[in-house]
Amino acid sequence: MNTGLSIRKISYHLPSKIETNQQLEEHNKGWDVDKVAKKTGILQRYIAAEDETSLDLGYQACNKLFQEFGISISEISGLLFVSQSPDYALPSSSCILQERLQLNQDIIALDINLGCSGFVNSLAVATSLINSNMAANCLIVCAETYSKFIDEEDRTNKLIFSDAASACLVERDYNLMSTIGKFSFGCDGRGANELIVKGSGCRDSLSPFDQRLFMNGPAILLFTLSQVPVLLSRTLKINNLSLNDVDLFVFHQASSLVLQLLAEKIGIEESKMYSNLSMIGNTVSSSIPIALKDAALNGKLKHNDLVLIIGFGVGYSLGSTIIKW
Amino acid sequence: MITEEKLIRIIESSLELEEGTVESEDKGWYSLWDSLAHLSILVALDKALDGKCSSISELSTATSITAIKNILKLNNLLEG
Repeated sequence: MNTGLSIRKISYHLPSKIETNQQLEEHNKGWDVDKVAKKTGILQRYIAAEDETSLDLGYQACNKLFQEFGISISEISGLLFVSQSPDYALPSSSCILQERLQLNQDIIALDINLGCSGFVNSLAVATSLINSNMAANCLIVCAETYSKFIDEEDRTNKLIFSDAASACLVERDYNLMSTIGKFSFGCDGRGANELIVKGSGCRDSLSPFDQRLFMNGPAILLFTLSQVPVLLSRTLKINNLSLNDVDLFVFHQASSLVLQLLAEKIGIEESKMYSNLSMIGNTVSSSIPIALKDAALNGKLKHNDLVLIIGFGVGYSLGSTIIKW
Repeated sequence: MITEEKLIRIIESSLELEEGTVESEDKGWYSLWDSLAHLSILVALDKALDGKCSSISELSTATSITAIKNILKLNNLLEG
């Protein structure tokens, strides 16, 4: 257990443009938006402007964090930027963000290319950096603009993914109130083609026409239902906890169907399964930090509560841990 | 393990079809089997088979009754 580490300082930023299900139905006469919404539980999504990137959203989230919690930029000693829609293949977004935020130049700054498991996996990296004294603290910025990869005719993905950024400061808690538990991870590259943007790297054509998000929904669902309960059991076991010890479960906000099926399969009470999908959508790597922030704001997550977080998706990749809030 | 009849009822229920539609000669109902309907079939099958379907990744691309039957038989989940 990483006693004395806290992630309570979280802020997030959403683009100003909101796309509602009603708007999509009006613009796409053949779409049965309500039928899809019954499965996703999502009523609206946030969409980045044409000239707004993940870096821009991340920058705004960081500024909100610094203002909300009175953090001085000179305090930051580590920066992890989690995104699969970076401004460039090179240079790293984290280096550009260091300059835009005017952070110190002696910090460690890395990009992490992960989707829905990105926050938890980055938290593991941040925890390691702090515990090994390579960084005094670490800023995890998750920022994604999947909307730029989604075809206008894609009646599934357009109704699920939302653009957003979150900023979370991982730092020592000298009152030893907070704890980050032991982590468990999962990776299965057999699922690489099931959620992919071909043409986004050097393997395939780089033509903009090929840079479209493809998701095999049934394959992702089967992977999730088979792997998430196993990972969750492992996380509980290595932290010497049982299901009943956990006060709140904050899973990656994939869709309400996925959350409901996982809750049934694992045996989680509905009241302990947090969801803020309906008005925010699936924000990929930001979904867990945004949900943690919202849960804390609306009183569902209180000091000393045990919250289990689990991220899963593209890769396939998974990560999970327990936080004493 | 489920019977073939149970499988057909699951598919009918997931596609919101009346009982007997799948066995009728008119196969027009197949047009309703889109990706969303496939999700519903997989969810219903997984529940009926106590979670044994979720580890069979081949089911994600099995978009016909014959394909599903073959996969379930291979995995000893279909009677007969």
